[in-house]
Amino acid sequence: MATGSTSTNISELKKIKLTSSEGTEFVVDKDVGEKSILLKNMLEDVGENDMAIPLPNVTGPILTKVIEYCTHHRDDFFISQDDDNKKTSDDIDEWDSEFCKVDQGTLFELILAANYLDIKPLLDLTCKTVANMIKGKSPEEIRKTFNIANDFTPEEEIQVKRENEWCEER
Amino acid sequence: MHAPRLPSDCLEYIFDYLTTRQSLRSAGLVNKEWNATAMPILWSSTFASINPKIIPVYIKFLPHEVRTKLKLEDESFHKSTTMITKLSNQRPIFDYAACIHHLDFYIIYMSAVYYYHLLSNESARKFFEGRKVCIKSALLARELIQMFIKRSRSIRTLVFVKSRRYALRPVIFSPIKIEITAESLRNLRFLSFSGCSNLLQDMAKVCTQIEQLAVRNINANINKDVKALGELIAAQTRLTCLSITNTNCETLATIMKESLLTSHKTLKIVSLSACDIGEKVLNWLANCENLVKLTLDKCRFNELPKSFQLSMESFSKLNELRVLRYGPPPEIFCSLLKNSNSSLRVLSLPLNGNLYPNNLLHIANSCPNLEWLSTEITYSSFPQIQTLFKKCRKLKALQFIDGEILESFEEETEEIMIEDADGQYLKNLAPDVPPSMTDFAICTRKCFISTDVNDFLKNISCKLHTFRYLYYGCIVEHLSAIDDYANSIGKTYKENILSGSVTFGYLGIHFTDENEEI
Repeated sequence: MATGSTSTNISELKKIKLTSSEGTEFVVDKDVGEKSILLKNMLEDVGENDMAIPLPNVTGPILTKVIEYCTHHRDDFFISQDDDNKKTSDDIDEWDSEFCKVDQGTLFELILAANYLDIKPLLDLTCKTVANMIKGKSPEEIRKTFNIANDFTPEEEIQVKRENEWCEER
Repeated sequence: MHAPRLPSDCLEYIFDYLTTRQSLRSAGLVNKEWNATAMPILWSSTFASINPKIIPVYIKFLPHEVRTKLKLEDESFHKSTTMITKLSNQRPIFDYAACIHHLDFYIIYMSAVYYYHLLSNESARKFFEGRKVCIKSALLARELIQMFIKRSRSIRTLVFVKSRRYALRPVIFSPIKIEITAESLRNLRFLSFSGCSNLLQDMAKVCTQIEQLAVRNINANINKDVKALGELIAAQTRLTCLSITNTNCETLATIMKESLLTSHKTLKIVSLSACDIGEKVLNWLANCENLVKLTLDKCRFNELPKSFQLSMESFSKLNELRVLRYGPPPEIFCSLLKNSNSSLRVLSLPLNGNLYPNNLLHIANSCPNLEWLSTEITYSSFPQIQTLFKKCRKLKALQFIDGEILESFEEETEEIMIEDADGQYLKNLAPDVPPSMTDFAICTRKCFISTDVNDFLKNISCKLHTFRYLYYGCIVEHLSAIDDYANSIGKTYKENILSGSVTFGYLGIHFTDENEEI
């Protein structure tokens, strides 16, 4: 019942509760949860509170993956990359690349979740992974890979193709 | 299962990682949504290099009357265009012209030239002989540029630099007038141009966000637009980098005068080359309170009054000062280094020890935090190096060139002393070499080669990455001896040279015998 003497310990082990879109409750360490800038700001705003934070845009399985990622990287100091730096997608480490070996649906859901929860490193990782899957593929192969329907009319498609023919070479 | 739809901001984020045009093009062909995100990225810098094949698409964005005027509407033209591009006569499916961010007038002009070349069946040689073609290309380029400025959503970089092959510059530029309401230029970040053009006239009213500005070849006597340039600089709220090349004192003063009020708070990097530096300019520079890096290359200081005083104190944040080729007059130099400046890390000054006695002592006393120094020394300034080393303990790199070399290129230089019994200068320096020193370079015509270099390398306590010792003027029969020596030193003292890079070189003229130059 002591509130003062062991406060440092308590804050280190502090947990937060999250509710996925189906209503499943997740309990995570506070430092893991705070990898999400959205949650971090929320927690700062509401202060000490036992209430579960509802995440209506994130399903249970995706939230599980997100927590897995944030737990693995809990001690990383996320450096925000300079926007001037040339972006590269060849710098994915082994654990991260294993983490991204999921079906395309899950990968896109992860992008949406990372975007919504504002977890920049996870967004970077998943977007790089998608970019790497696009590279070197024809439009038809890309559609197949990501299960996307072609909504161009045949005439439109030919026209877009021709208008962009200039970048074929070099 | 269908993958969820990604919103366009996520798609954009992904496409930013697509580094090749082919990948972006493929992504843009997937569906309409992907197309709408990929096209603006793909078409933002279409003129990063000469790109004639893209011209036909852009021509479709030109107003009908312009196309008629340029004879881009007649049938034979259509025939030849469709042959090279397979483009139909339809309006483009996407507003490609609105996406352009990067406008380089020369590249657009050259793309137009090569485009006309593609249309003709002539050999390149025959084609480029015809002057008419160049005028045609210049007219087309001009219309395209005008169209881009009008149509682009946001132009970030604008480059119009003169080139030798760019003889038709006036044709391209003179009739262009930017509408003051040109929204596209509101976010201009980088502007580089050569000579003034009436493009500048109204720019100050539109562009206030320029971060980097580079100007070449302007002259107050020739161009009335110098005032406009000053106003443009004055209108900038975030200008950090300014580079001016090849202009005279009066012009510079005019620019500075017009721009004095605002921009000097944000300026961090200033580079002036081939400019006359007068009192007003130096005072203006001293007023740039946040200046971090200043380069004066090939600048003449003739117009400065001898009594002019300028203190390093004015440059309280200056980190790098590079004066190249010609140095300021000795009096100015002395006043500059009279007070100490703790922010200076990098200094390059062409100071001939004969003209600037005690130059190293001045530097040693006023720049305690110096890390990189390049200057001239003479035989007589060797003893000053010791003081420099004792005072500037953070020195990492050092480049000394013998001032007499620069003075006496014509002289015969035979007085090389391969075995110099008195040459103990380097050796005596060894205990004082700052601990952080990694690069040590001396170019001199005095060789203290035998025991001196040897002892120096043996007795230094720092770990050098490179040690360069260059002689100017050598007698050829000694060369092999020097080579052997250099090799032996390199091997023996590797432990003091981290990367093992010991360079001994010869600079300037070598003689086989007394008068014959190779």
